Amino acid sequence: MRTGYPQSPKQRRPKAAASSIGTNFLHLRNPYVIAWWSCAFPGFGHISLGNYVLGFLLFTWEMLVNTQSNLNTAIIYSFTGRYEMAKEIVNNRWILSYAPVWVFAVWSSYRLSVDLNKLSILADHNHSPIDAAYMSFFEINILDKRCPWVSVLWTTVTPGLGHLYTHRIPTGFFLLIWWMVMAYNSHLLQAAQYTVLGLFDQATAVLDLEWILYMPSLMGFAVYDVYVNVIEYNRLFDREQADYLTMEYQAPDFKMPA
Amino acid sequence: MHVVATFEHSNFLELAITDLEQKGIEKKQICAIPLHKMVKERALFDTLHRADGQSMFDLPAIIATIFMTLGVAWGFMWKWGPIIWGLLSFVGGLALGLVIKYLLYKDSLIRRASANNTEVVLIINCKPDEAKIVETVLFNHLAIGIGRKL
Repeated sequence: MRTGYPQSPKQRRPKAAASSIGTNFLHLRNPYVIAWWSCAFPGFGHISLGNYVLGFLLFTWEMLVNTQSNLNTAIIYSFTGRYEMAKEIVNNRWILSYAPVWVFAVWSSYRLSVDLNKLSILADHNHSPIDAAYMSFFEINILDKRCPWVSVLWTTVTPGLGHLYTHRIPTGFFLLIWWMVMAYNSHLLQAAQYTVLGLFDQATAVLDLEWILYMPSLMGFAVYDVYVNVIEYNRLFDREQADYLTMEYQAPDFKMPA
Repeated sequence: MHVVATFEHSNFLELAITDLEQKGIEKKQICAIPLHKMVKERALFDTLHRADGQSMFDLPAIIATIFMTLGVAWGFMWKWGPIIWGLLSFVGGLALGLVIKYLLYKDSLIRRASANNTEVVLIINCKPDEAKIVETVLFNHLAIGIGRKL
């Protein structure tokens, strides 16, 4: 029979874990919003929660199956009333495998966020400790107050940059690299150049339908996720500082003004 | 005598405290009381199944993503092409979402904004001739308000 826990209650229900490349931490989420981001792009819900390995794998799966089955192209054809073309373009060696994993990603991220919400409340009630800084040879990761709108601005310029500002390096480089891959394959930058010059027909013609439809989801998610991160990191900073001040600067014999 | 000041949570607050200690105010003469925000505590229960601090931005981001996807798809059929229609519908979706959120949460947003300013009360027990130095240090580190009690 076990007579005691090897860990303290605070260690059992951690609030945050800092490392060189970012601080992973629990805060309250709206499960429906997390589920929505998994709908928009399988993997995003998990990445937002901090479940990076699962999120990156699901994202890569989506890129593979969607690209191979021409699903995005079929979506554009369907939305614009060209139903026969949609039926023709879909690759039926791949398309049937899409639904099960897509539904799993949505369901799994919803379920995870409900469970993590409970753990988040437990960690808060335990006053689990938070690292104010994590320094290693490779990086300096400090809890700091950041401006939400600065992060949103950088993200709208190029998704991923805002996450680098918040020192959430895995999400930052993941979004940045995929954004560049999508921009290249979709011919987005060429189309942007034609559009600026007023050559709308050429802009439309140069775009790759399959790849361009990934980009709204990636942009939307990046903007949402970076904003939430800044707000919640700021709140984490406040909590850590409040705990520190309460512990260090409330001497029992302090003479209050009377 | 006592000098009392209010602060927001930031690194300036810790710089102010360490600066005071360097200028000879002892640690046990300093009392910091972080304030719990009543608005946030009360909002905890409906935050489980709705968003909390970030609630202002979730709906706009969702609508913007849907609109942008449709704008890109339909943009292929319209004169200005998918780039302009994609961007226009993104901005339009974002604006629509913000308006809806603002109308839904107008009252609680205003209440939260006014509750956000003061976060920590700092009380320093010092001799009357030290009060001027203490006040200068607090003022230089962005105290919201400073007062004294003889």
